Amino acid sequence: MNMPIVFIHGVNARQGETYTRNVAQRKIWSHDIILQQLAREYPTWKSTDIIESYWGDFGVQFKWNLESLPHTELFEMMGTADVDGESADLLDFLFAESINELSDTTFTSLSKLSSFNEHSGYLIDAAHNNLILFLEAIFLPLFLAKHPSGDIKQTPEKEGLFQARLGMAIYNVATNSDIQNHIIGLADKELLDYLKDQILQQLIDQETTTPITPGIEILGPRSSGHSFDKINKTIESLIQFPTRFANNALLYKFRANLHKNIARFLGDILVYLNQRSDQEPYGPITSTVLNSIDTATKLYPDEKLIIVTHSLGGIILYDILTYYKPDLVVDAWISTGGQIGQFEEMKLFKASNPELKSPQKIALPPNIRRWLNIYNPLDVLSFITQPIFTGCIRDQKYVAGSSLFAAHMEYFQGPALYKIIYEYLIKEEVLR
Amino acid sequence: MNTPTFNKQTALLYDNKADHTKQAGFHALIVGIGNYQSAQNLQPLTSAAFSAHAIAQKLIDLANENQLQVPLATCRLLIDAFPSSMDTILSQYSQPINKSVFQDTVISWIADARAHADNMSFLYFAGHGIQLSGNDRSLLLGDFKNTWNDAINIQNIVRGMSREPRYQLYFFDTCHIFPDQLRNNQSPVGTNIIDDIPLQEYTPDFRLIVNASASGHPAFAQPEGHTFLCDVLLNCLNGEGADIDTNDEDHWVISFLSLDHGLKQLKNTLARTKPWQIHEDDITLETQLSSTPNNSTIRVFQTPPITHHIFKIHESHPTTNIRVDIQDSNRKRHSTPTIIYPSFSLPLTPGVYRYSVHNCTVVSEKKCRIKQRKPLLIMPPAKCHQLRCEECLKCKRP
Repeated sequence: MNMPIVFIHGVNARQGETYTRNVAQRKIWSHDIILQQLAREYPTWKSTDIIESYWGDFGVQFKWNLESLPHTELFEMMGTADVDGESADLLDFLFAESINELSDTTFTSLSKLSSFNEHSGYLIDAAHNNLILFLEAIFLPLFLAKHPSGDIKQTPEKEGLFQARLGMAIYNVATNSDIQNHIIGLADKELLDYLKDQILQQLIDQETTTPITPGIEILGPRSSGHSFDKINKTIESLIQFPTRFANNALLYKFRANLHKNIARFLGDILVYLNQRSDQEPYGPITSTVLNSIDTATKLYPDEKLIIVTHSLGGIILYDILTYYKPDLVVDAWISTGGQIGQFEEMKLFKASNPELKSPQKIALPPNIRRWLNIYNPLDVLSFITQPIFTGCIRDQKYVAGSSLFAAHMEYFQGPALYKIIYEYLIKEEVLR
Repeated sequence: MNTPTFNKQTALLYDNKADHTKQAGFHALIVGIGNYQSAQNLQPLTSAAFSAHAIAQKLIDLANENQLQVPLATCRLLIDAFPSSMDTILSQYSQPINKSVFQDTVISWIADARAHADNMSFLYFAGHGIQLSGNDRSLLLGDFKNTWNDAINIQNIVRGMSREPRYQLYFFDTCHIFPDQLRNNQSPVGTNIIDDIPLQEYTPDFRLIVNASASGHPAFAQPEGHTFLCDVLLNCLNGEGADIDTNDEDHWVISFLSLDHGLKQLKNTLARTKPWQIHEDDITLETQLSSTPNNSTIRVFQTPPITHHIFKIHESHPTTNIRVDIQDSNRKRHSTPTIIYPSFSLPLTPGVYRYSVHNCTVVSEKKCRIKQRKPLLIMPPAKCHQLRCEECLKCKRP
């Protein structure tokens, strides 16, 4: 038994180092968390082909390279390395929001946060409350903020591979019940040191069991490679300057890209809507995605078809399944960070019926056998679907702490999402 | 092989010592450890034993063809092969190699090598290795059990050989990475297996130390095949590490200098062409050549041991039609067909040739510009020469 999974990306995806890295990362996590586990459940299952449907070349292009973006004081302020005064207060506030979300603690004043130190116990509260979210929220984004594999610049594929490995290591640590029990009662510094050691050991174990360079022998002990120093420094900095460090790392990523990403988000959607056509080939974006799906169904004509979409990818697919190719059967559709519900509210789909409105619901067409819509409450661009649609559909909440700043673009930046997808496929018995 | 029986106790694969009591000889110690089953974080190696055996076989072949600079006197072979990858050949040689066995063999090898000042010593070790404190490096044997101070200190072996014999070759085919487990602890210094000799007393006249990886880097191998360094070394011994003999221009020779140069050149070429998913920059190789002034062409091997060699054109213009006329030392002319590179080869016996390129026409002016950074590079068995075609010159190539 084989199975194709088509991945349709969303807004802001463009060929380049980030895209290459993300594809490499997605491949590893899909394989390790979804595919290997499925193989254990279904002995006849052999492999899965992940087909990346890339349409970014037809997305919005800015003829002045976004020269129209204003240089505001806010963005400059948020990105500076040394912060003080109001900027520091803002950073403290943002970090407090993250910890609040994770630890069920409410900081009543910024002065309390300013005294945050290794003895304060806020981190252990957050970790004990939900170790998975704590690690994916606090650790993973810090490690991935710059070059995750250390000071040595790697190829995007290797960066992606390493990010996936690091994510898996963090995920394995977070879901280990022994580790969860062990952290009870630790001070914050002890917690960070302990988690650091566990993550590094996980990296070494992974390298031992499934080497990052398969088909090659390494004439020395398996190691976490150049990541050791990076992880060590990150943890040390986190222990010494938790608020400043955490927020600077996140804001560094955030500041540089937020405004540009918003412009691209709007631009991609407008370009898609503008180019969408009733005449074949239906516009470049639609036809590109259709070609990818055709490839999957031709390569695996008798197999289940699973499609994963992100953001605008879901809108494109919904148009295809309800208007352009209503005879295409999708056995499972997993949408992430999608705006399908919002678009239906605005009646922007080709098949939208303006007469249907609340309290009525849209019946899912029969060619969509199952639909899991994953949203992040911190992602202001993600919407739920169950109030609008009826049928075999489920909205699934997915909280990623790193998403405080970059929620919309980081659904696939942690292993927990892949675990949700795997559990959904098993629970719904998609492969039976 | 010249010696049909292998003595596991002495590890002697080739023993011609009795015939060379008063004259210089070549003394080799070749080690391949793949059976690591006692230590955590150390994977068994399926390539180490094959690599060691291949190097030993090559040396004995060279000896049988009288290609070694001095006759082969002894060749010791220590192989501890990973059982599941052992074939019938390796099983003849494989035995557990612990510290005691290794120490005894090294001491015997050093004693033989130091018996005559003009001897040549050769050590090749394939197996796991780690970086010790400072820049010291170490080898790990099959009985290694995660006590890092039990790692065998490489510098101790090199120092143990001291300044005699005058000609020494070392190939350490291991990683030189610092284990994660040691980063928070005091660095180990490793184990000395022979009495250390003060630093100032151990520099021989000619010594080449080749490490398969630079400090802090891993070394790589093909499972069930050869290590990367093994392939590089074998290619060099097949002629790619050769140079014109400065004493006899009609002959090629592998010298300390040419071997050092050839290893580095070939490493770069193979790192680019190996079908491994490793960035070529991650494949490192480090050599340390020490020699007395003006003696850098001291021979290691005689004329490269090749009966036929392909006359190669490297990195030639891929759209260039060429015919190469080659004149050997007897003024006999050989010509290649006029053909587009790279489907071009001509078997030649070792020797010095004069050559010229004709009918060098570029297929497309446009393509010529695209490829203008790739000059013609013609390589007889070992020596590289750079040529440019007339058309290329017209294009004002750099």
